[in-house]
Amino acid sequence: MALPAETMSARRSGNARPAWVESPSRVGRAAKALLLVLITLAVIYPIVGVVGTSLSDQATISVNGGLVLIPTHPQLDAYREIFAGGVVSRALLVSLGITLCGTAASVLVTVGMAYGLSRPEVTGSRVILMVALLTMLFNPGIIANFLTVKSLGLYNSFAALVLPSLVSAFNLVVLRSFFMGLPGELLDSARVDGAGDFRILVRVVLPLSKAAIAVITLFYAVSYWNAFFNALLYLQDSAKNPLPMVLRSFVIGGQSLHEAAAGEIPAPQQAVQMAVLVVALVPILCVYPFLQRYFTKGVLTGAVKG
Amino acid sequence: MSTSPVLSRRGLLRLGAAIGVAAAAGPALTACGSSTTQAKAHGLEVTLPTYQAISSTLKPDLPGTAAGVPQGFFTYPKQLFRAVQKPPLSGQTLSIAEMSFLPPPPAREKNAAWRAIEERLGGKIDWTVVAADDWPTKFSTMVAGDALPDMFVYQGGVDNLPAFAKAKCADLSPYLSGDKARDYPNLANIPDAIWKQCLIGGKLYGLPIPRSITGGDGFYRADLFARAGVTSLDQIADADAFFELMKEVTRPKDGVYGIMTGFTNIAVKMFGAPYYWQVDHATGKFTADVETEEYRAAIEYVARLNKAGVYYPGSAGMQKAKYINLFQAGKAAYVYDGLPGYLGPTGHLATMKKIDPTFDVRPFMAPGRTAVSWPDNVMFAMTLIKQAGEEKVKQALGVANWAASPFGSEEYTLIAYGVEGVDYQRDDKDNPVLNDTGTQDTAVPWKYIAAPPQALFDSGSAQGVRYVHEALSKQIGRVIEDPTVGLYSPTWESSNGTLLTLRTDTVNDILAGRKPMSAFDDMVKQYRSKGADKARSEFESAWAQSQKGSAK
Repeated sequence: MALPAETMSARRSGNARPAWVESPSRVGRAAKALLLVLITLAVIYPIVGVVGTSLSDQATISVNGGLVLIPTHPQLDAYREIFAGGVVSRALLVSLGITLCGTAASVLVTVGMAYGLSRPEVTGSRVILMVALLTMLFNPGIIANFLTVKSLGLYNSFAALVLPSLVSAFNLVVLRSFFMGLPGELLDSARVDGAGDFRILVRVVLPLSKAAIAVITLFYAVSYWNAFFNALLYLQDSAKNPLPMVLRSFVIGGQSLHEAAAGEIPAPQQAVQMAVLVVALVPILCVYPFLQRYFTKGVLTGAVKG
Repeated sequence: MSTSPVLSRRGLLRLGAAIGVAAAAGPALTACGSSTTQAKAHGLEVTLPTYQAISSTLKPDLPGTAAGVPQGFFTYPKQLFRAVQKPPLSGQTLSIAEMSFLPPPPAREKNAAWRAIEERLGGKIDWTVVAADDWPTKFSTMVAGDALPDMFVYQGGVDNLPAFAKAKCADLSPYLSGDKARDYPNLANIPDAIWKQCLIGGKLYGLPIPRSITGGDGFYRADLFARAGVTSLDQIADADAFFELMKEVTRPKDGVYGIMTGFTNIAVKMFGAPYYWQVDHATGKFTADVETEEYRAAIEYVARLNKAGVYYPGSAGMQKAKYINLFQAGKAAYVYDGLPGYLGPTGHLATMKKIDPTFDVRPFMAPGRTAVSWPDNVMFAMTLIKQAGEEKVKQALGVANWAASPFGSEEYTLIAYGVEGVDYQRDDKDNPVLNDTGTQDTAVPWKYIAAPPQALFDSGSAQGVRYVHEALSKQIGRVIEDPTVGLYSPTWESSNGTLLTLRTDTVNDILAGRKPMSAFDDMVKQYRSKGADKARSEFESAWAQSQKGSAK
């Protein structure tokens, strides 16, 4: 169908607006620009404040009411304090190790389990799926988990940070749904060609499921990176603490002291608190732009398939 | 002062801990009652450790007193003395779990102070250091999972404490009662008033981490008071005079107000109300603080202050860091913070001098003839020892005795400053100054195993030490009795958090003008019916029991 001449000329001139839509007034444009600037400022202001405060001394922070946008005498003392003594760098290694090993193990087990549960010919798959789903609905609770971990001899070991949360029922359901959506004929033809289940999984299913696996990998990695509560409960040796626990201790300081003893420990220096925020933000800021699209895919995968 | 109300994660964990203790303790708990409702009130059943002051060659610049006023030092002792001659361990390892308020310390292999202390102890300490905010969760899980270490700090978290102590902790009475404490001279150097707080169910279970008896009355700007014609707190005759002074120093145009926040308790002290409970020694009858006329009058007074506009706007809802910043930046003449926050390189005195040398911040003392002080900071917490054989308990007591080495000793210096040349250097006046390494290395919570009676020291300001010493001398002199010390009321233990929330909410509503003063009277009725009356009868019973015990 031929396009109206006016539309054609609008396209040619680079203006994508259809001819029947009036061009915005100057006031409208100015209002939109102002709105966008305000939204941008609302996002940038706290980030600049966090970075500015992390580079200031306590006296400057007090005078500025707790938030410094432009430090008058920038200094790196807060960052030095965080990284001195090797505690944070050690915790960083621990977190990296747990994230890499935990994610690899979790993805491996989840893929295997999801594939098995997606095959209708597997006896009892629905029962097993129900059992897995039950863990999502009914959590056994902190004490029961702790006793289980202790009785398995995992207390104070890195395995305690991975094994209790090795399979997430949510990720399992997402992946199983994805596998079930693959054309059955494809798997059947592979079977006719003589492939066993393992070969079908590795050669057929996995190459077709890269996006879904990327999503659950991301979910697992983020949850292991942020793991805090399991470390608090299951680790005894403070040297094994992962990054979130260490950073948290920099932030909370003496806040829980009772009123009369309140001054016993100086409140954590706000510069240090803000520097901790920056340290915690940087890895996510570095990785997130590259992985953002997988997050979107993950939400869609979970949203349209049940 | 308040604890979180009922249905929180902590509450659930406490329940879990109670179940864990019940399951693990078995017969011991059957005797005591296996649930919180069956717990009994307890009074004093033991002789406290005999006090024996340590004689050293140290000469304080300001004297201490037996009542608890700490010694004051303007410079750090040049000649250190050795407080413990023989290492308490001979190659063994003890596990200790403590809460910490500081960033985590470097591990043993990178921590010279840690290694030096273990060398002096003669064995190893395996630390579980938990951020203080996470301690309740960790502690409850350790109790429920029967994973308690050899020694651990206790600052609440078990519902039936006497049953827990009986089932899980070592009774220290056979080791420390009376003259037996002489085997641990640094522990015997701790006064009775502090040991009394370590009693559980009438027996001695705890090792104290002493503090300065009272947390003080906050801080004021002497320069702003002087501008209003008040050069000494003694000039403030009564609450009305203080009211006028606050109006005088409040200058909204300059952004300066009389009070930042936290004055309610100070007003309650100013009017002479008791610290939670008071007892009539003649009849043994207990009265809750909110039932007294003094408490009610104080709330009315604070409501008037609030109405007069002397509070910094919005400060009541601010987080501590925010209002402390504002006070330090010169926005108010008064703020509440604990006395320990005054001295030292990051204390209010040093920080405010940096901001403006004309700021003259000093410890406040509630004025007026009726003013009292509360024993609200007698000790920081206590350390409990897990039930074990005699040898292990003695080892743990030896480590606690080492950690309680007094100010000026080699041991105290190792804990506070680490190793000379590595963690600290001496300045031109021979005062130790921590370097960056030392700040990290000394974050191991040795000082929370046990501690000596406190000493005041600030190498940066002799005048600051004088101020705190003067404030403590005056306030300890007028400290009123806490009749519940050494007594146990299961109802108070389980419901005081809820009761405190009830009264704090009501008082805040009255101060904000959301409720009339009559709401206070309704609150008192609820306070009594929701636990205070039952707690009262339990305390009275425990009091009577302890009076009989002390009369024997």
